[in-house]
Amino acid sequence: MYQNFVLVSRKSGAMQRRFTVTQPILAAAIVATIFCFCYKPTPFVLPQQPYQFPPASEISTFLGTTNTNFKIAYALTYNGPRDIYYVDFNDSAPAPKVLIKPAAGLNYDADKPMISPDGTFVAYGLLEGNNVYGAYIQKLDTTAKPVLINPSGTRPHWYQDPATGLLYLIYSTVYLIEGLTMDTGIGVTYKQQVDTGNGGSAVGSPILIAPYPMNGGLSKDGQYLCTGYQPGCFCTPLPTAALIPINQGVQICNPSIDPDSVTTDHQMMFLNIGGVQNLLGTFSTDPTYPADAQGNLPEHSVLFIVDVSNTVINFIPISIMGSGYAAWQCPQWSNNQNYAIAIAASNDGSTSWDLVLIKNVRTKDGESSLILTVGSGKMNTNSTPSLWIGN
Amino acid sequence: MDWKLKMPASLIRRIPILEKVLPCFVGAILLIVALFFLFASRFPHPDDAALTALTPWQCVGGCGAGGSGGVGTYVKWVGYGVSGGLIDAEVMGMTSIGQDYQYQEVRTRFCMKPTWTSTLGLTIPIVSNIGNLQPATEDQDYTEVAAGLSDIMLDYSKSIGMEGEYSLMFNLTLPSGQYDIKRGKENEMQYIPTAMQCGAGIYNVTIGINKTIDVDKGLWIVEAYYSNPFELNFYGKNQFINSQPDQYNDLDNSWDLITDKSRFQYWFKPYGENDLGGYTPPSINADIYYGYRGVEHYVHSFGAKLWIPLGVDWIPAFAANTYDPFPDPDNRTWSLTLHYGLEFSRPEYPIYIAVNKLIESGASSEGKFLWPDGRDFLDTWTFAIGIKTTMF
Repeated sequence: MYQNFVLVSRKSGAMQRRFTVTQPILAAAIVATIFCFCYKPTPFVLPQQPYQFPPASEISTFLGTTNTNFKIAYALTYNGPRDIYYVDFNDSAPAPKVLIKPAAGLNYDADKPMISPDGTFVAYGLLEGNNVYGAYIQKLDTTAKPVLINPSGTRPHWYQDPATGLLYLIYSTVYLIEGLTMDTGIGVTYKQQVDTGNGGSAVGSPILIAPYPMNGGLSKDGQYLCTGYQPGCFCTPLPTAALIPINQGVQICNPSIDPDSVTTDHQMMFLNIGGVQNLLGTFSTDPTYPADAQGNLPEHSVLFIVDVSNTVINFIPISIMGSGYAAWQCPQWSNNQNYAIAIAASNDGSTSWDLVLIKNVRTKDGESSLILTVGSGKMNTNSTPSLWIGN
Repeated sequence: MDWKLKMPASLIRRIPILEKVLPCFVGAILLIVALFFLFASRFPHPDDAALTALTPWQCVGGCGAGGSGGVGTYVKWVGYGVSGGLIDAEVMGMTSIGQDYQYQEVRTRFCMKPTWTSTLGLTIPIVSNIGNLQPATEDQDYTEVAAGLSDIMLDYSKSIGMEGEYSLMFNLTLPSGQYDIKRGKENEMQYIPTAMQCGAGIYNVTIGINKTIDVDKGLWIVEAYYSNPFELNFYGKNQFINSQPDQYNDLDNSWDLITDKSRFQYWFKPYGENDLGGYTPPSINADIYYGYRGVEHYVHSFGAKLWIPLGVDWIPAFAANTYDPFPDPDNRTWSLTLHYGLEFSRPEYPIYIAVNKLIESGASSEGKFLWPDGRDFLDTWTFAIGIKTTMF
């Protein structure tokens, strides 16, 4: 058969060995040495995107302040999951700084930062997709450690009681509210006292203030919460927990509550979904209203400010930004009722989005904007910025 | 569990380039073989036919060993084997187990002899890997499965020396196995660990020398290999850098800002860094086996394999949309494999069973030589069963 069963000792051969193994081994050793020491992997650091901020004095003029005591915060996808960045314009050279992320959440996205009423802290949530991984507060300092307020909390907003001065965090338990109706069982909203001393901490236990997930914050007088789903609504805190639908039957996006409901009526700011809106007022006849003949709005083309009677107080079309932008993203009312911050998305199909400060948000045709470029290609629909204006 | 089967992106990515690759690849193979013959010609050439008669244990190397290096599951066939036809075939199934993994592999190997003293072989490995994973400490651990074609290997060996007692070996591993298998929800997918992937995503060239020494009723085999991974890119650029979901969008967005693009923009890298940033260092192997043929129709074999990498493994970031490779926390700095095999030396279909005991260093991402981790010392084993035949 094929098998080699004939065993012949090689040693019976009298041939003289002239071959030496030294040469190939030496060659292999040289090759190994060359390749071994030629290359060592190194960590890759994604280059910083360029940022372009107007001079602080220009922003100060825009914001109507006498100093540069203002800050912004936002979430960015830079290299991997989103981090929280902030800019303090009181710095000699204002530049984006990143906050330390919770050690248990390095793989999660930091989301929707909100600067505290005194401008020293930020509140934010951790997410993985739409799954909630906690509400945190953290001092605006690159060395500050994050403080977990509630592992089931998301979309935290600050609330300072005007009567007592106590500071609270308002957060819900559901990041993305799906469904056409608001009902109990979807999620809840808590009010948690916090202390910003010694790096920050929670005080006492969370207080249930609504049997629904209210993601837009609590009005200054404590009378209304707001949220967005399909559609949106105001809600009085417990024990009444009365719901007031807004834009019935039409989804609203990115709701945020009026920061000064003590001096004005209660209002919320939100971003439109595409289609015909179900709101009251004369807004649709305004020549700057960017709807077609059937009343359909392009998605995210308008920032609405609406009160508890579902009446439009003002709307801000993306056209105030000029022709280079196609849509708003992630608007957020600042701590000053007259100002908001949002993202303006370019209309060239790229991911080049800019931060925009918006002035006179409640004054029709009085609005103006100021662009802050934090770096092209890094902002997204979850970058929700926050603007804090000091005294 | 309901595992979503994802498209083998790396495979798809590579298929369109086959047309371009093939001429280059064939040319490279011919060049390498020519150089090999040139190198081999420096040694004395006895009559090849006579040399074959003097080397009855031709198949001791399993028709050309080698492989991609690393703590592999390769089990060497030590025995008479069978030959004589135009093509020899070997099928070997292997199972490697540890505390939290079970890797299975079936290697089908075909080889032929272009000359009396040379062997040309093709090995097609199919793998099925099951492992328990916990990508991050905050994550819940879970069990993952990956299976499919692994990296195929081409090898060439030539007997040299006055008695044919030496054999020079050349082995080329091709990145045919998928190395970017990822799991998870849309836009949140994570790569499974490198050890669980079907392939390495790199080429690997192994050169080695083997010496056989006849003794009374037995045979000694001594081998030494050097493996050097390398990488080719027939597009000239890392194809994961694009705007698709779960790809390197950040890199794509920042492309113009990257000053040193050499790790992404290349045609050839003389080192084993794949497009996910995973890095496999060169390595050396030193093996010794003793085959005992004192019992008729059986060959018992004992051996030891020492593997030493010349660097630290780097692994890709787990998040599929992040290019952030880092040193492998599970990096091993050496391994020693103890071998026992038994060939049933049947005339037409010899059968081989073997058990290997893997002893490896403790894990060190800094490349420190550590003693084995005692916790899994008794749990790492490889079992193999194989069959050979020859045809035509």
